[in-house]
Amino acid sequence: MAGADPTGSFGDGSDFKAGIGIAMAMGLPNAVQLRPTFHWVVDATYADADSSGWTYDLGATPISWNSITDKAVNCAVEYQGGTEMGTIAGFENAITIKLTLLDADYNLLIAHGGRPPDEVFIANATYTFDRIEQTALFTVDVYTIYCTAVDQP
Amino acid sequence: MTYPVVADNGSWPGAPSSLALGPIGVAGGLRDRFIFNSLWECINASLGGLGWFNATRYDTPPGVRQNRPVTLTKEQVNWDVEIVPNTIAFAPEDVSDPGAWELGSDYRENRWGFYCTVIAESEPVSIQLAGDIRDILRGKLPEVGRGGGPFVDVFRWDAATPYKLTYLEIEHVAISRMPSYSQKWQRYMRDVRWEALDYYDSSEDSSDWAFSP
Repeated sequence: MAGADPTGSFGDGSDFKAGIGIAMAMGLPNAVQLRPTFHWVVDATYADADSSGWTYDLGATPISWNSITDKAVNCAVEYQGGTEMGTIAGFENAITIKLTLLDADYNLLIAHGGRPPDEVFIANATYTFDRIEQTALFTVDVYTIYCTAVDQP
Repeated sequence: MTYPVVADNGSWPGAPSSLALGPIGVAGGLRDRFIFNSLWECINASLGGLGWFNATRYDTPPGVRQNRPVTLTKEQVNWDVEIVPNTIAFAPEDVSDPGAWELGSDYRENRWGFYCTVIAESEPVSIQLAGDIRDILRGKLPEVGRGGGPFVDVFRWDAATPYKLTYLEIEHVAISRMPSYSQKWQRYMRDVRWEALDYYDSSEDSSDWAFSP
């Protein structure tokens, strides 16, 4: 339920945010490089691109590009089900995860990249975004990002 | 080890004259390994020549190539290794029963299926990668040493300086794609399949399965 808490017990949500933030941080790996790091794919424009934006000359220099540095923010990671398949390349383990971000952290990502990220790196695995859902706990917006591993090693 | 450059006349400069062009000399599984390795080296060198391994997608600013790095595997990677686009898995398939090359011929035909599975990052990259592999095999890319038609030289890779042992004729190169898929990573997947024909010389023995020394 969005909006102010009719009972008034939720207040402005600051205590809630602080508590959830601690819980999120508690579950992250101690090694910083293993923590969720959000990535934006380079957004480049070419003179000879096809309708999907890919240049016909992969060695061409783009007319313009927007390269965004990676950014890490606090979030909760929930590993869900997935599929495993032996292939000739190796073992594809395409598990899904659910990331939960509070509005302040999500807004940090939007402010950093100007748009939602495309991927997230977690513990040497790459996950691509499937969809982003927005809910709320009274005045606090909550963003849930569903991702699928390219291949979970 | 890099794929040796073959002279225009089809002979490897360091090869003994008796083996320079002949399809004989090595039989059994060792011959198969030379064939397997020669095809992989050919594709690997040619894709490298086309710039596929020079990718720097994550550079800031973007580098020379705009696709993600391409990896050509030779066998299954360890299960604790992440398989990311753009990965190309090279693999052998079935070997058919050999038959006579043609009626009355002393040569036996050994037909070996191969394929490359292309796991790409996008549709354009998937199409271009698969098409490049197809024409590497068909010998239609002279700019990377793959002109002259659908033939791939087989080298003795156990020699200090690998030299040409025989050659393969490539047939039935085809690109296929699943009309539907169940996994996200299969979105831009294509298979390039072909058959490699190896000719055995059986002229010096009465047995169909014998090979010249």
